[in-house]
Amino acid sequence: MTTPKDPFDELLEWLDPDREKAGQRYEAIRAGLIRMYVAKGVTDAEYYADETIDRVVKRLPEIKAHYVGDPARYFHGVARNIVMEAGRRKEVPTDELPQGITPPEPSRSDTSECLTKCLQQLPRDKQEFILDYHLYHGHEKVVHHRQMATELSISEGALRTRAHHLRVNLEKCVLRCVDHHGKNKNAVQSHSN
Amino acid sequence: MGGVRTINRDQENEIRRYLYGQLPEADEESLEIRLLSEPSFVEEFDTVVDEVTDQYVRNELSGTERKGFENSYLRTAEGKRKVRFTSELLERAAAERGVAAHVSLREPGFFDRVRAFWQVQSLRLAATAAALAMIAGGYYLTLRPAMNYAPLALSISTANRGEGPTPQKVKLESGVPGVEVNLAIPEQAKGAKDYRVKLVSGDGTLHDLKIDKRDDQTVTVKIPASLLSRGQYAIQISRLNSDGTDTRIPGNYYFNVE
Repeated sequence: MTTPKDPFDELLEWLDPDREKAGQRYEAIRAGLIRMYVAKGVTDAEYYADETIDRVVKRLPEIKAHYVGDPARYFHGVARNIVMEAGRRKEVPTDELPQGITPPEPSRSDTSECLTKCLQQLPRDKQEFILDYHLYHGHEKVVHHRQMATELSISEGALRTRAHHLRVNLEKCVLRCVDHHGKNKNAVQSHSN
Repeated sequence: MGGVRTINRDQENEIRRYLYGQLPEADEESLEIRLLSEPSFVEEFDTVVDEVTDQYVRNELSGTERKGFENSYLRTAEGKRKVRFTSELLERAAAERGVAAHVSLREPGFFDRVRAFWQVQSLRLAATAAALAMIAGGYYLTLRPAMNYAPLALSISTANRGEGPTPQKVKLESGVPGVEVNLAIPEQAKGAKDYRVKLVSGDGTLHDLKIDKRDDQTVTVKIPASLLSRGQYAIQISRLNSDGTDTRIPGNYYFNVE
């Protein structure tokens, strides 16, 4: 008697016979789905990315038997349907729901305080780099970035990527910190109520 | 992650148009398939999102681009969080620039240290000269007749600078302490607990402005002459919510200093 395969394992197998490559493909599809949903203005993109994957997993036996082509295209088709469904439901953005249903927006001072903390966690040269990179705009920015790239002896593309990676990590740190602040405030409020 | 760009200028523009909701369906589909299958493209996509968000915060997008971005990406909580973070980051960078305009990106060499030493010496000399000038200036200020702030009354415009009505002009005569600006509060923003006002210079520098007076119709701010030189400016206003957050009122109050 053979035990039935885990549906997720079946999905990975469909994506690529090599388990490691399949994992990478899975991550790429999920990351792409999240971008796609956010760009389409769909709130809670991560939830919908997982919903897309769930729907594909449910239909997998049928897909495996008949579908020919790149699995990414199939995920894309399912995601498109979900975007249309969300549009039909005239989805309300989370921050327009009445207060009490959604967590309150963080205040500017929280974001500012968290940015200070997160910048301080970076080594000095990285702090200076990220602030310096975002100094100018328009033509001045182009010239400034060229100068920075020359000083660091790297290409402008590499400079851009370096700034992007630093910014992503900084943004994550600020979000975590703001979230933590929010939870603390809520705890204090519920304690005092 | 090697830092090598995998997209060209045309592809970057395509991502931008996708974010503004301006891409034809067939192109949109092929871009989305790439998003789902190429991790390096996702990274490039994220970089373009950062740049578009910077431009949104600096009010550099055209009217249709801005609207398109607001109607899609910025409808989401993630988009709003990104704008909040970006606006803090850009403000911080601008504020830091006031302290050190050009941060050296490498270890200082011998000549840099010599130059730095002389910069410190010249700063000391400059500080002494400034102190003398302030004493002389103090005498002058007590003796000269007091001058008033130049008045300016502005209404908000949701158009871009180049598209809307011609911005008002103000001339700063020598000795004028600054400009007193009356900002008409747009209908949808009236009745807020309080407001937050910012001055945006032509180079993107932001300064918080203290509210001098306010009533139901207007908010008045005084901009010191030290913050103004000949050029284009915009004022942005946000309403403070009861939970301590603030919400930016769409549009700008434009004016030019001559």
